[in-house]
Amino acid sequence: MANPMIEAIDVTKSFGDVTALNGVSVVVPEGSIHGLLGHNGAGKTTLVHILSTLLEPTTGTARIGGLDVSADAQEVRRRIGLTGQFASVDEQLSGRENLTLIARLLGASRRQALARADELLELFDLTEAAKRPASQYSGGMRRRLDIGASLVGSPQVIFLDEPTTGLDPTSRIAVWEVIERLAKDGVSVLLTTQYLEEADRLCERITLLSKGSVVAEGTPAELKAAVGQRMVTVTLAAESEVPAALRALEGAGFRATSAQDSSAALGVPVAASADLAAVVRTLNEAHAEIAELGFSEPTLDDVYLRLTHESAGTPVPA
Amino acid sequence: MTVAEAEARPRRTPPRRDAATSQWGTSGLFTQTVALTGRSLRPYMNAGVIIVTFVEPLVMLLMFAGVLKVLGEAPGMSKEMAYIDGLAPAIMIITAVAAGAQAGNGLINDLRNEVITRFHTLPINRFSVLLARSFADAARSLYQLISVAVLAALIFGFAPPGGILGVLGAILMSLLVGWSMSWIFIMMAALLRNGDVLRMITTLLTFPLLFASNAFVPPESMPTGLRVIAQGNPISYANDAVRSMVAGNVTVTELATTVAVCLALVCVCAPISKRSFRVL
Ligand SMILES: Nc1ncnc2c1ncn2[C@@H]1O[C@H](COP(=O)(O)OP(=O)(O)O)[C@@H](O)[C@H]1O
Ligand SMILES: [Mg+2]
Repeated sequence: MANPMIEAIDVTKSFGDVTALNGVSVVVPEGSIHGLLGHNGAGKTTLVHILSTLLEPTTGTARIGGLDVSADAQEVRRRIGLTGQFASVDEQLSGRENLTLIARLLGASRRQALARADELLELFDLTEAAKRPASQYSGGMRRRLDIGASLVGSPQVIFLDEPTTGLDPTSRIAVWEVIERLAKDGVSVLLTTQYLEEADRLCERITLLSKGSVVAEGTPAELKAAVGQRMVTVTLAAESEVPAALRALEGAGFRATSAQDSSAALGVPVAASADLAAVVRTLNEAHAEIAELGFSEPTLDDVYLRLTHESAGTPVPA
Repeated sequence: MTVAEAEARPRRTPPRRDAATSQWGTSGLFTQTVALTGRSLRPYMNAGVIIVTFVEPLVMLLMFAGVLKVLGEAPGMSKEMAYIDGLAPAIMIITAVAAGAQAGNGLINDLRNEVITRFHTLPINRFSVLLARSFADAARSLYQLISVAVLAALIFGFAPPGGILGVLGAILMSLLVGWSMSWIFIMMAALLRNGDVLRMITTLLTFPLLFASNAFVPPESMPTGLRVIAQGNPISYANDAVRSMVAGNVTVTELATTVAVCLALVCVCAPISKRSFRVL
Protein backbone atom coordinates (compact mmCIF):
# COMPACT_ATOMS: atom_id res chain seq x y z
CA MET A 1 0.00 0.00 0.00
CA ALA A 2 1.12 3.57 -0.68
CA ASN A 3 1.95 5.81 2.28
CA PRO A 4 -0.94 5.85 4.72
CA MET A 5 -2.13 9.48 4.95
CA ILE A 6 -5.14 9.03 7.18
CA GLU A 7 -5.01 6.48 9.98
CA ALA A 8 -7.53 5.75 12.68
CA ILE A 9 -6.40 2.86 14.81
CA ASP A 10 -8.90 1.27 17.18
CA VAL A 11 -10.53 4.61 17.90
CA THR A 12 -13.19 4.80 20.58
CA LYS A 13 -15.22 7.86 21.43
CA SER A 14 -17.78 8.14 24.21
CA PHE A 15 -20.03 11.08 25.01
CA GLY A 16 -21.10 10.26 28.54
CA ASP A 17 -23.21 7.12 28.20
CA VAL A 18 -23.27 7.22 24.41
CA THR A 19 -20.55 5.26 22.66
CA ALA A 20 -20.32 6.98 19.29
CA LEU A 21 -17.29 4.99 18.09
CA ASN A 22 -16.35 1.55 19.34
CA GLY A 23 -12.88 0.53 18.17
CA VAL A 24 -12.92 1.86 14.63
CA SER A 25 -9.91 1.48 12.35
CA VAL A 26 -9.63 3.14 8.96
CA VAL A 27 -6.50 3.57 6.84
CA VAL A 28 -6.44 5.71 3.72
CA PRO A 29 -3.36 5.67 1.45
CA GLU A 30 -2.10 8.82 -0.25
CA GLY A 31 -4.18 10.00 -3.19
CA SER A 32 -7.03 7.64 -2.47
CA ILE A 33 -10.72 8.33 -1.92
CA HIS A 34 -12.05 6.37 1.01
CA GLY A 35 -15.75 6.15 1.77
CA LEU A 36 -17.27 6.08 5.22
CA LEU A 37 -20.71 4.67 4.70
CA GLY A 38 -23.37 4.43 7.33
CA HIS A 39 -26.83 5.44 8.44
CA ASN A 40 -27.59 8.46 10.61
CA GLY A 41 -25.87 8.18 13.98
CA ALA A 42 -23.40 5.53 12.81
CA GLY A 43 -20.50 7.69 13.98
CA LYS A 44 -19.24 9.09 10.66
CA THR A 45 -19.14 12.72 11.76
CA THR A 46 -17.54 11.84 15.08
CA LEU A 47 -14.69 10.03 13.31
CA VAL A 48 -14.20 12.96 10.92
CA HIS A 49 -14.12 15.37 13.87
CA ILE A 50 -11.47 13.29 15.61
CA LEU A 51 -9.33 13.07 12.47
CA SER A 52 -9.66 16.82 11.88
CA THR A 53 -8.48 17.69 15.43
CA LEU A 54 -11.85 18.98 16.64
CA LEU A 55 -12.41 16.14 19.10
CA GLU A 56 -9.98 13.98 21.06
CA PRO A 57 -10.51 10.23 20.85
CA THR A 58 -11.41 8.58 24.17
CA THR A 59 -9.01 5.74 23.35
CA GLY A 60 -7.06 4.74 20.26
CA THR A 61 -4.82 6.63 17.89
CA ALA A 62 -5.54 8.94 14.99
CA ARG A 63 -2.79 10.14 12.66
CA ILE A 64 -2.57 12.34 9.59
CA GLY A 65 0.56 11.84 7.51
CA GLY A 66 2.07 10.00 10.45
CA LEU A 67 1.37 12.91 12.86
CA ASP A 68 -0.77 12.32 15.92
CA VAL A 69 -3.92 14.46 15.89
CA SER A 70 -3.69 15.17 19.62
CA ALA A 71 0.04 15.60 20.10
CA ASP A 72 0.74 17.39 16.80
CA ALA A 73 -2.64 19.05 16.29
CA GLN A 74 -1.27 22.28 14.82
CA GLU A 75 0.96 20.41 12.34
CA VAL A 76 -1.99 18.22 11.38
CA ARG A 77 -4.06 21.36 10.73
CA ARG A 78 -1.46 22.48 8.18
CA ARG A 79 -2.23 19.36 6.17
CA ILE A 80 -6.00 19.05 6.31
CA GLY A 81 -9.13 20.69 4.99
CA LEU A 82 -12.58 20.00 6.41
CA THR A 83 -15.91 20.42 4.70
CA GLY A 84 -18.28 19.71 7.54
CA GLN A 85 -21.74 18.25 7.40
CA PHE A 86 -23.24 21.73 7.74
CA ALA A 87 -21.93 24.44 5.45
CA SER A 88 -19.43 26.57 7.32
CA VAL A 89 -19.35 29.67 5.15
CA ASP A 90 -19.90 33.15 6.53
CA GLU A 91 -23.27 34.21 5.17
CA GLN A 92 -22.54 37.90 5.58
CA LEU A 93 -19.40 37.74 3.47
CA SER A 94 -19.34 37.36 -0.29
CA GLY A 95 -17.98 34.19 -1.84
CA ARG A 96 -14.70 35.92 -2.63
CA GLU A 97 -14.40 37.39 0.87
CA ASN A 98 -14.99 33.99 2.44
CA LEU A 99 -12.03 32.61 0.50
CA THR A 100 -9.70 35.60 0.92
CA LEU A 101 -10.34 35.55 4.66
CA ILE A 102 -9.08 31.97 4.92
CA ALA A 103 -6.10 32.75 2.69
CA ARG A 104 -5.21 35.77 4.85
CA LEU A 105 -5.47 33.64 7.96
CA LEU A 106 -3.04 31.20 6.35
CA GLY A 107 -0.50 33.95 5.74
CA ALA A 108 -1.23 35.08 2.19
CA SER A 109 -0.77 38.74 1.33
CA ARG A 110 -3.82 40.66 0.13
CA ARG A 111 -2.79 40.08 -3.50
CA GLN A 112 -2.01 36.40 -3.04
CA ALA A 113 -5.27 35.91 -1.19
CA LEU A 114 -7.27 37.49 -4.00
CA ALA A 115 -5.44 35.41 -6.61
CA ARG A 116 -6.11 32.20 -4.71
CA ALA A 117 -9.75 33.12 -4.16
CA ASP A 118 -10.31 33.86 -7.84
CA GLU A 119 -8.62 30.62 -8.81
CA LEU A 120 -10.97 28.63 -6.57
CA LEU A 121 -14.04 30.62 -7.62
CA GLU A 122 -13.20 29.78 -11.21
CA LEU A 123 -12.64 26.13 -10.34
CA PHE A 124 -16.02 25.91 -8.64
CA ASP A 125 -17.89 27.95 -11.20
CA LEU A 126 -18.66 30.74 -8.76
CA THR A 127 -16.91 33.59 -10.55
CA GLU A 128 -20.17 35.29 -11.47
CA ALA A 129 -21.47 35.07 -7.92
CA ALA A 130 -18.12 36.09 -6.40
CA LYS A 131 -19.33 39.43 -5.08
CA ARG A 132 -22.71 38.32 -3.79
CA PRO A 133 -23.11 37.56 -0.09
CA ALA A 134 -23.12 33.81 0.54
CA SER A 135 -26.56 34.17 2.13
CA GLN A 136 -27.93 34.56 -1.40
CA TYR A 137 -26.30 31.37 -2.69
CA SER A 138 -28.27 28.25 -3.53
CA GLY A 139 -27.58 25.04 -1.61
CA GLY A 140 -25.30 23.74 -4.34
CA MET A 141 -23.35 27.00 -4.64
CA ARG A 142 -22.90 27.19 -0.88
CA ARG A 143 -21.62 23.63 -0.83
CA ARG A 144 -19.14 24.34 -3.60
CA LEU A 145 -17.96 27.49 -1.81
CA ASP A 146 -17.63 25.44 1.35
CA ILE A 147 -15.49 22.83 -0.37
CA GLY A 148 -13.50 25.64 -1.99
CA ALA A 149 -12.88 27.17 1.43
CA SER A 150 -11.46 23.88 2.68
CA LEU A 151 -9.04 23.84 -0.29
CA VAL A 152 -7.61 27.36 0.13
CA GLY A 153 -4.40 26.11 1.73
CA SER A 154 -4.08 23.25 -0.81
CA PRO A 155 -4.24 20.58 1.89
CA GLN A 156 -2.93 17.06 1.38
CA VAL A 157 -5.92 15.57 3.14
CA ILE A 158 -9.56 16.52 2.71
CA PHE A 159 -12.48 15.46 4.85
CA LEU A 160 -15.89 15.73 3.25
CA ASP A 161 -18.79 15.02 5.57
CA GLU A 162 -21.86 14.17 3.49
CA PRO A 163 -20.83 16.64 0.79
CA THR A 164 -23.81 16.01 -1.46
CA THR A 165 -26.61 15.55 1.05
CA GLY A 166 -29.50 17.78 0.04
CA LEU A 167 -28.07 18.69 -3.37
CA ASP A 168 -29.89 18.43 -6.67
CA PRO A 169 -28.50 15.84 -9.14
CA THR A 170 -26.63 18.40 -11.23
CA SER A 171 -24.85 19.92 -8.25
CA ARG A 172 -24.14 16.44 -6.95
CA ILE A 173 -22.36 15.45 -10.14
CA ALA A 174 -20.40 18.72 -10.12
CA VAL A 175 -19.23 17.96 -6.56
CA TRP A 176 -18.30 14.40 -7.55
CA GLU A 177 -16.12 15.72 -10.36
CA VAL A 178 -14.35 18.06 -7.97
CA ILE A 179 -13.66 15.18 -5.59
CA GLU A 180 -12.33 12.95 -8.35
CA ARG A 181 -10.03 15.70 -9.55
CA LEU A 182 -8.65 16.20 -6.05
CA ALA A 183 -7.72 12.54 -5.75
CA LYS A 184 -6.09 12.65 -9.17
CA ASP A 185 -3.92 15.52 -7.89
CA GLY A 186 -2.73 13.31 -5.05
CA VAL A 187 -5.00 14.59 -2.31
CA SER A 188 -6.24 11.91 0.08
CA VAL A 189 -9.97 12.11 0.61
CA LEU A 190 -12.11 10.72 3.39
CA LEU A 191 -15.72 11.04 2.38
CA THR A 192 -18.75 10.21 4.43
CA THR A 193 -22.02 9.45 2.77
CA GLN A 194 -25.38 7.80 3.16
CA TYR A 195 -25.58 7.27 -0.60
CA LEU A 196 -24.44 3.88 -1.84
CA GLU A 197 -24.30 5.14 -5.38
CA GLU A 198 -21.90 7.88 -4.32
CA ALA A 199 -19.57 5.51 -2.46
CA ASP A 200 -19.69 3.05 -5.36
CA ARG A 201 -18.80 5.70 -7.91
CA LEU A 202 -16.12 7.63 -6.02
CA CYS A 203 -14.44 5.42 -3.51
CA GLU A 204 -11.55 3.05 -3.94
CA ARG A 205 -12.36 1.48 -0.64
CA ILE A 206 -15.32 1.67 1.68
CA THR A 207 -15.67 1.27 5.41
CA LEU A 208 -19.17 0.44 6.45
CA LEU A 209 -20.05 1.77 9.89
CA SER A 210 -23.00 0.75 11.97
CA LYS A 211 -23.64 1.96 15.51
CA GLY A 212 -20.05 2.99 15.98
CA SER A 213 -18.46 -0.24 14.73
CA VAL A 214 -16.95 -1.28 11.43
CA VAL A 215 -19.13 -3.97 9.91
CA ALA A 216 -17.31 -4.31 6.60
CA GLU A 217 -14.30 -2.93 4.78
CA GLY A 218 -13.09 -3.38 1.23
CA THR A 219 -13.40 -2.25 -2.36
CA PRO A 220 -16.95 -1.83 -3.60
CA ALA A 221 -16.47 -4.98 -5.69
CA GLU A 222 -15.15 -7.01 -2.76
CA LEU A 223 -18.06 -6.01 -0.60
CA LYS A 224 -20.51 -6.99 -3.27
CA ALA A 225 -18.79 -10.32 -3.88
CA ALA A 226 -18.64 -11.09 -0.18
CA VAL A 227 -22.26 -10.53 0.58
CA GLY A 228 -24.34 -9.78 -2.44
CA GLN A 229 -25.79 -12.62 -4.50
CA ARG A 230 -26.04 -12.97 -8.22
CA MET A 231 -29.55 -14.11 -8.80
CA VAL A 232 -31.45 -15.61 -11.72
CA THR A 233 -35.10 -14.65 -11.51
CA VAL A 234 -37.56 -16.77 -13.40
CA THR A 235 -41.28 -16.35 -13.86
CA LEU A 236 -42.96 -19.50 -15.12
CA ALA A 237 -45.90 -19.51 -17.49
CA ALA A 238 -48.09 -21.48 -15.07
CA GLU A 239 -48.19 -21.66 -11.29
CA SER A 240 -48.77 -25.39 -11.41
CA GLU A 241 -45.27 -25.93 -12.85
CA VAL A 242 -43.54 -24.45 -9.79
CA PRO A 243 -43.17 -27.62 -7.61
CA ALA A 244 -41.70 -29.66 -10.49
CA ALA A 245 -39.36 -26.83 -11.44
CA LEU A 246 -38.11 -26.46 -7.87
CA ARG A 247 -37.47 -30.22 -7.65
CA ALA A 248 -35.58 -30.20 -10.95
CA LEU A 249 -33.42 -27.24 -9.92
CA GLU A 250 -32.65 -28.88 -6.59
CA GLY A 251 -31.63 -31.99 -8.46
CA ALA A 252 -29.25 -29.90 -10.53
CA GLY A 253 -27.68 -28.45 -7.37
CA PHE A 254 -29.41 -25.06 -7.18
CA ARG A 255 -31.06 -23.75 -4.02
CA ALA A 256 -34.06 -22.15 -5.67
CA THR A 257 -36.87 -20.49 -3.76
CA SER A 258 -40.33 -19.50 -4.85
CA ALA A 259 -41.50 -16.01 -4.12
CA GLN A 260 -44.28 -15.62 -1.58
CA ASP A 261 -46.24 -12.87 -3.29
CA SER A 262 -46.20 -13.98 -6.92
CA SER A 263 -46.32 -17.75 -6.87
CA ALA A 264 -45.13 -18.35 -10.43
CA ALA A 265 -41.83 -16.54 -9.71
CA LEU A 266 -38.61 -18.29 -8.69
CA GLY A 267 -35.34 -16.94 -7.40
CA VAL A 268 -32.19 -18.96 -8.10
CA PRO A 269 -28.96 -17.83 -6.44
CA VAL A 270 -25.99 -18.59 -8.72
CA ALA A 271 -22.26 -18.21 -8.42
CA ALA A 272 -21.51 -16.91 -11.92
CA SER A 273 -23.38 -15.62 -14.93
CA ALA A 274 -22.45 -18.86 -16.74
CA ASP A 275 -24.88 -20.67 -14.45
CA LEU A 276 -27.72 -18.88 -16.20
CA ALA A 277 -27.54 -21.35 -19.08
CA ALA A 278 -27.64 -24.32 -16.68
CA VAL A 279 -30.76 -22.95 -14.98
CA VAL A 280 -32.50 -22.51 -18.33
CA ARG A 281 -31.48 -26.00 -19.49
CA THR A 282 -32.69 -27.61 -16.25
CA LEU A 283 -36.07 -25.90 -16.57
CA ASN A 284 -36.39 -26.93 -20.22
CA GLU A 285 -35.66 -30.53 -19.35
CA ALA A 286 -38.37 -30.34 -16.64
CA HIS A 287 -40.76 -28.97 -19.26
CA ALA A 288 -41.36 -25.81 -17.24
CA GLU A 289 -42.19 -22.99 -19.62
CA ILE A 290 -40.34 -19.73 -18.89
CA ALA A 291 -42.44 -16.57 -19.25
CA GLU A 292 -39.81 -14.13 -17.97
CA LEU A 293 -36.12 -14.44 -17.27
CA GLY A 294 -33.91 -12.01 -15.41
CA PHE A 295 -30.41 -11.76 -13.97
CA SER A 296 -29.48 -9.38 -11.18
CA GLU A 297 -26.00 -8.33 -10.03
CA PRO A 298 -25.60 -7.57 -6.33
CA THR A 299 -25.75 -3.92 -5.42
CA LEU A 300 -24.18 -2.02 -2.61
CA ASP A 301 -27.69 -1.85 -1.20
CA ASP A 302 -27.58 -5.59 -0.62
CA VAL A 303 -24.27 -5.24 1.20
CA TYR A 304 -25.55 -2.40 3.28
CA LEU A 305 -28.84 -4.00 4.21
CA ARG A 306 -27.40 -7.39 4.98
CA LEU A 307 -24.43 -6.27 7.05
CA THR A 308 -26.15 -3.57 9.05
CA HIS A 309 -29.01 -5.96 9.82
CA GLU A 310 -26.60 -8.67 10.86
CA SER A 311 -24.80 -6.35 13.24
CA ALA A 312 -28.12 -5.18 14.65
CA GLY A 313 -29.11 -8.81 15.23
CA THR A 314 -32.29 -8.61 13.19
CA PRO A 315 -33.01 -11.09 10.40
CA VAL A 316 -31.99 -10.13 6.91
CA PRO A 317 -34.92 -9.73 4.55
CA ALA A 318 -34.65 -12.34 1.78
CA MET B 1 -23.99 25.82 -13.75
CA THR B 2 -24.61 22.90 -15.99
CA VAL B 3 -22.43 19.86 -16.12
CA ALA B 4 -21.67 20.51 -19.78
CA GLU B 5 -20.40 23.98 -18.94
CA ALA B 6 -18.30 22.59 -16.16
CA GLU B 7 -16.89 19.98 -18.51
CA ALA B 8 -16.12 22.46 -21.27
CA ARG B 9 -14.09 24.68 -18.99
CA PRO B 10 -10.39 23.89 -18.80
CA ARG B 11 -9.67 22.63 -15.32
CA ARG B 12 -7.04 24.23 -13.17
CA THR B 13 -5.89 22.15 -10.34
CA PRO B 14 -5.15 23.71 -6.98
CA PRO B 15 -1.42 24.03 -6.31
CA ARG B 16 0.10 21.72 -3.74
CA ARG B 17 0.27 22.77 -0.16
CA ASP B 18 4.06 22.80 0.13
CA ALA B 19 4.25 25.34 -2.66
CA ALA B 20 1.53 27.42 -1.04
CA THR B 21 3.11 27.54 2.37
CA SER B 22 6.56 28.46 1.14
CA GLN B 23 4.98 31.06 -1.10
CA TRP B 24 2.72 32.50 1.56
CA GLY B 25 4.84 32.14 4.63
CA THR B 26 2.99 32.11 7.92
CA SER B 27 0.58 34.54 9.54
CA GLY B 28 0.93 35.69 13.10
CA LEU B 29 -1.57 36.56 15.78
CA PHE B 30 -1.67 40.18 14.55
CA THR B 31 -2.56 39.40 10.92
CA GLN B 32 -5.09 36.80 12.01
CA THR B 33 -6.73 39.16 14.48
CA VAL B 34 -6.96 41.95 11.90
CA ALA B 35 -8.52 39.60 9.31
CA LEU B 36 -11.01 38.20 11.81
CA THR B 37 -11.92 41.61 13.26
CA GLY B 38 -12.92 42.68 9.76
CA ARG B 39 -15.16 39.63 9.58
CA SER B 40 -16.73 40.24 12.98
CA LEU B 41 -17.39 43.88 12.09
CA ARG B 42 -19.23 42.95 8.94
CA PRO B 43 -22.68 42.49 10.50
CA TYR B 44 -22.40 46.01 11.92
CA MET B 45 -21.56 47.48 8.52
CA ASN B 46 -25.01 47.95 7.18
CA ALA B 47 -27.01 51.14 6.94
CA GLY B 48 -29.78 49.98 9.26
CA VAL B 49 -27.44 48.83 12.00
CA ILE B 50 -25.31 51.96 11.69
CA ILE B 51 -28.35 54.19 12.15
CA VAL B 52 -29.79 52.20 15.06
CA THR B 53 -26.37 52.09 16.70
CA PHE B 54 -26.27 55.88 16.46
CA VAL B 55 -29.83 56.38 17.72
CA GLU B 56 -29.39 54.11 20.77
CA PRO B 57 -27.27 56.65 22.69
CA LEU B 58 -29.64 59.43 21.56
CA VAL B 59 -32.64 57.68 23.10
CA MET B 60 -30.70 57.00 26.27
CA LEU B 61 -29.56 60.63 26.54
CA LEU B 62 -33.05 62.04 26.06
CA MET B 63 -34.66 59.49 28.36
CA PHE B 64 -32.23 59.90 31.25
CA ALA B 65 -32.12 63.67 30.83
CA GLY B 66 -35.91 63.73 31.26
CA VAL B 67 -36.03 61.34 34.21
CA LEU B 68 -33.11 62.92 36.02
CA LYS B 69 -34.55 66.40 35.57
CA VAL B 70 -37.62 65.30 37.51
CA LEU B 71 -35.52 63.47 40.11
CA GLY B 72 -33.22 66.45 40.41
CA GLU B 73 -36.16 68.45 41.75
CA ALA B 74 -36.92 65.80 44.37
CA PRO B 75 -35.57 66.41 47.86
CA GLY B 76 -32.24 64.80 48.69
CA MET B 77 -31.06 64.64 45.08
CA SER B 78 -28.02 66.52 44.09
CA LYS B 79 -28.80 69.11 41.45
CA GLU B 80 -25.63 68.39 39.47
CA MET B 81 -27.01 65.01 38.36
CA ALA B 82 -29.41 66.78 36.08
CA TYR B 83 -26.61 68.54 34.31
CA ILE B 84 -25.18 67.15 31.16
CA ASP B 85 -21.64 67.13 32.59
CA GLY B 86 -22.80 64.51 35.07
CA LEU B 87 -25.11 62.69 32.71
CA ALA B 88 -22.91 62.27 29.62
CA PRO B 89 -20.18 60.27 31.44
CA ALA B 90 -22.83 57.96 32.92
CA ILE B 91 -24.31 57.33 29.47
CA MET B 92 -20.83 56.69 28.13
CA ILE B 93 -20.18 54.01 30.74
CA ILE B 94 -23.58 52.37 30.14
CA THR B 95 -22.98 52.37 26.40
CA ALA B 96 -19.53 50.87 26.69
CA VAL B 97 -20.60 48.15 29.13
CA ALA B 98 -23.61 47.24 26.96
CA ALA B 99 -21.33 46.93 23.92
CA GLY B 100 -19.00 44.75 25.96
CA ALA B 101 -21.88 42.48 26.95
CA GLN B 102 -22.74 42.19 23.27
CA ALA B 103 -19.40 40.45 22.65
CA GLY B 104 -20.65 37.39 24.52
CA ASN B 105 -23.71 37.18 22.31
CA GLY B 106 -21.54 37.64 19.25
CA LEU B 107 -19.39 34.69 20.22
CA ILE B 108 -22.44 32.48 20.81
CA ASN B 109 -23.76 33.42 17.37
CA ASP B 110 -20.40 32.55 15.87
CA LEU B 111 -20.43 29.15 17.55
CA ARG B 112 -23.86 28.41 16.12
CA ASN B 113 -22.65 29.57 12.73
CA GLU B 114 -20.25 26.67 11.98
CA VAL B 115 -17.72 29.13 10.53
CA ILE B 116 -15.77 28.91 13.74
CA THR B 117 -15.61 25.14 13.23
CA ARG B 118 -13.57 25.76 10.10
CA PHE B 119 -11.31 28.22 11.92
CA HIS B 120 -10.59 25.49 14.44
CA THR B 121 -9.27 23.21 11.71
CA LEU B 122 -6.86 25.90 10.46
CA PRO B 123 -3.31 26.15 11.79
CA ILE B 124 -4.05 29.55 13.35
CA ASN B 125 -3.82 30.86 16.88
CA ARG B 126 -7.35 30.31 18.18
CA PHE B 127 -7.01 33.24 20.53
CA SER B 128 -7.20 35.51 17.47
CA VAL B 129 -10.87 34.57 17.11
CA LEU B 130 -11.61 35.84 20.63
CA LEU B 131 -9.42 38.93 20.30
CA ALA B 132 -11.20 39.78 17.07
CA ARG B 133 -14.55 39.38 18.79
CA SER B 134 -13.56 41.81 21.54
CA PHE B 135 -12.08 44.35 19.11
CA ALA B 136 -15.10 44.32 16.82
CA ASP B 137 -17.40 45.15 19.70
CA ALA B 138 -14.90 47.73 20.97
CA ALA B 139 -15.04 49.38 17.56
CA ARG B 140 -18.82 49.49 17.75
CA SER B 141 -18.54 50.88 21.26
CA LEU B 142 -16.16 53.61 20.08
CA TYR B 143 -18.62 54.67 17.41
CA GLN B 144 -21.40 54.91 20.00
CA LEU B 145 -19.23 56.81 22.48
CA ILE B 146 -18.43 59.39 19.83
CA SER B 147 -22.17 59.58 19.11
CA VAL B 148 -22.87 60.28 22.79
CA ALA B 149 -20.35 63.12 22.88
CA VAL B 150 -21.55 64.65 19.62
CA LEU B 151 -25.25 64.36 20.47
CA ALA B 152 -24.68 65.69 23.98
CA ALA B 153 -22.86 68.66 22.52
CA LEU B 154 -25.51 69.31 19.86
CA ILE B 155 -28.62 68.82 21.99
CA PHE B 156 -27.51 69.81 25.48
CA GLY B 157 -24.58 72.03 24.71
CA PHE B 158 -22.16 69.59 26.37
CA ALA B 159 -18.94 71.64 26.68
CA PRO B 160 -17.32 70.51 29.94
CA PRO B 161 -14.40 72.19 31.74
CA GLY B 162 -12.10 69.38 30.63
CA GLY B 163 -12.49 70.54 27.03
CA ILE B 164 -11.98 68.43 23.95
CA LEU B 165 -9.11 66.57 25.57
CA GLY B 166 -11.24 65.75 28.57
CA VAL B 167 -14.02 64.40 26.36
CA LEU B 168 -11.54 62.35 24.32
CA GLY B 169 -10.07 61.01 27.54
CA ALA B 170 -13.56 60.13 28.77
CA ILE B 171 -14.29 58.29 25.52
CA LEU B 172 -11.05 56.32 25.70
CA MET B 173 -11.51 55.49 29.35
CA SER B 174 -15.09 54.28 28.78
CA LEU B 175 -13.83 52.27 25.82
CA LEU B 176 -11.20 50.61 28.00
CA VAL B 177 -13.75 49.83 30.70
CA GLY B 178 -16.20 48.35 28.15
CA TRP B 179 -13.51 46.37 26.35
CA SER B 180 -12.11 44.87 29.51
CA MET B 181 -15.62 43.99 30.67
CA SER B 182 -16.31 42.36 27.31
CA TRP B 183 -13.83 39.66 28.40
CA ILE B 184 -16.15 38.69 31.26
CA PHE B 185 -18.87 38.03 28.71
CA ILE B 186 -16.57 36.34 26.20
CA MET B 187 -15.34 34.11 29.00
CA MET B 188 -18.88 33.22 30.02
CA ALA B 189 -19.86 32.55 26.40
CA ALA B 190 -16.86 30.24 25.97
CA LEU B 191 -17.66 28.43 29.21
CA LEU B 192 -21.45 28.21 28.91
CA ARG B 193 -21.85 27.92 25.12
CA ASN B 194 -25.56 28.55 25.63
CA GLY B 195 -27.15 31.78 24.43
CA ASP B 196 -30.21 31.68 26.69
CA VAL B 197 -28.26 31.15 29.88
CA LEU B 198 -25.73 33.76 28.83
CA ARG B 199 -28.41 36.38 28.18
CA MET B 200 -29.97 35.74 31.59
CA ILE B 201 -26.66 36.06 33.38
CA THR B 202 -25.81 39.15 31.33
CA THR B 203 -29.00 40.88 32.46
CA LEU B 204 -28.51 39.72 36.02
CA LEU B 205 -25.00 41.10 36.01
CA THR B 206 -25.33 44.35 34.06
CA PHE B 207 -28.42 45.82 35.72
CA PRO B 208 -27.09 45.86 39.27
CA LEU B 209 -23.65 46.89 38.02
CA LEU B 210 -25.05 49.87 36.16
CA PHE B 211 -27.88 50.96 38.45
CA ALA B 212 -26.55 50.05 41.87
CA SER B 213 -23.77 52.50 41.16
CA ASN B 214 -23.27 56.23 41.39
CA ALA B 215 -23.99 56.64 37.68
CA PHE B 216 -27.44 58.15 38.03
CA VAL B 217 -28.23 58.44 41.72
CA PRO B 218 -25.81 59.67 44.38
CA PRO B 219 -25.18 56.79 46.83
CA GLU B 220 -25.73 59.16 49.78
CA SER B 221 -29.43 59.18 48.93
CA MET B 222 -29.66 55.36 48.81
CA PRO B 223 -30.75 53.01 51.64
CA THR B 224 -27.77 51.61 53.57
CA GLY B 225 -27.57 48.18 51.90
CA LEU B 226 -27.70 49.58 48.42
CA ARG B 227 -25.31 52.35 49.34
CA VAL B 228 -22.65 49.88 50.44
CA ILE B 229 -23.01 48.04 47.15
CA ALA B 230 -22.95 51.23 45.09
CA GLN B 231 -19.85 52.46 46.87
CA GLY B 232 -18.02 49.19 46.29
CA ASN B 233 -19.24 48.82 42.71
CA PRO B 234 -16.36 49.04 40.22
CA ILE B 235 -18.67 50.87 37.84
CA SER B 236 -18.89 53.68 40.38
CA TYR B 237 -15.13 54.05 40.27
CA ALA B 238 -15.10 53.95 36.49
CA ASN B 239 -17.87 56.53 36.43
CA ASP B 240 -15.97 58.79 38.86
CA ALA B 241 -12.88 58.52 36.70
CA VAL B 242 -14.79 59.40 33.53
CA ARG B 243 -16.48 62.33 35.30
CA SER B 244 -13.13 63.63 36.47
CA MET B 245 -11.88 63.38 32.90
CA VAL B 246 -14.77 65.46 31.68
CA ALA B 247 -14.33 67.92 34.53
CA GLY B 248 -10.66 68.22 33.69
CA ASN B 249 -9.48 67.27 37.20
CA VAL B 250 -8.52 63.62 36.84
CA THR B 251 -5.68 62.52 39.10
CA VAL B 252 -2.86 60.21 38.13
CA THR B 253 -3.94 57.78 40.85
CA GLU B 254 -7.48 57.68 39.51
CA LEU B 255 -6.23 57.09 35.98
CA ALA B 256 -3.70 54.47 36.99
CA THR B 257 -6.18 52.62 39.20
CA THR B 258 -8.81 52.43 36.45
CA VAL B 259 -6.32 51.21 33.86
CA ALA B 260 -4.81 48.70 36.29
CA VAL B 261 -8.19 47.24 37.28
CA CYS B 262 -9.24 46.97 33.63
CA LEU B 263 -6.03 45.22 32.62
CA ALA B 264 -6.24 42.90 35.61
CA LEU B 265 -9.74 41.90 34.52
CA VAL B 266 -8.48 41.06 31.04
CA CYS B 267 -5.51 39.17 32.45
CA VAL B 268 -7.86 36.94 34.43
CA CYS B 269 -10.67 36.44 31.89
CA ALA B 270 -8.75 36.20 28.61
CA PRO B 271 -6.65 33.13 29.52
CA ILE B 272 -9.72 31.34 30.89
CA SER B 273 -11.60 32.18 27.70
CA LYS B 274 -8.73 30.92 25.59
CA ARG B 275 -8.50 27.66 27.48
CA SER B 276 -12.22 26.90 27.42
CA PHE B 277 -12.81 28.01 23.83
CA ARG B 278 -13.71 24.99 21.70
CA VAL B 279 -16.32 24.30 19.09
CA LEU B 280 -17.52 20.79 19.90
N1 LIG C 1 -21.57 15.91 21.32
C1 LIG C 1 -22.26 14.78 21.46
N2 LIG C 1 -22.83 14.45 22.63
C2 LIG C 1 -23.53 13.32 22.79
N3 LIG C 1 -23.73 12.41 21.81
C3 LIG C 1 -23.20 12.68 20.61
C4 LIG C 1 -22.44 13.86 20.37
N4 LIG C 1 -22.03 13.85 19.07
C5 LIG C 1 -22.51 12.70 18.56
N5 LIG C 1 -23.21 12.00 19.47
C6 LIG C 1 -23.85 10.69 19.26
O1 LIG C 1 -22.91 9.83 18.68
C7 LIG C 1 -23.51 9.02 17.69
C8 LIG C 1 -22.81 9.20 16.37
O2 LIG C 1 -23.09 10.47 15.85
P1 LIG C 1 -22.48 11.01 14.49
O3 LIG C 1 -21.02 10.81 14.51
O4 LIG C 1 -22.96 12.40 14.31
O5 LIG C 1 -23.16 10.05 13.42
P2 LIG C 1 -23.32 10.24 11.83
O6 LIG C 1 -22.47 11.37 11.40
O7 LIG C 1 -22.88 8.92 11.26
O8 LIG C 1 -24.76 10.49 11.57
C9 LIG C 1 -24.98 9.39 17.67
O9 LIG C 1 -25.66 8.49 18.47
C10 LIG C 1 -24.99 10.76 18.27
O10 LIG C 1 -26.22 11.01 18.90
MG1 LIG D 1 -22.98 13.07 10.40
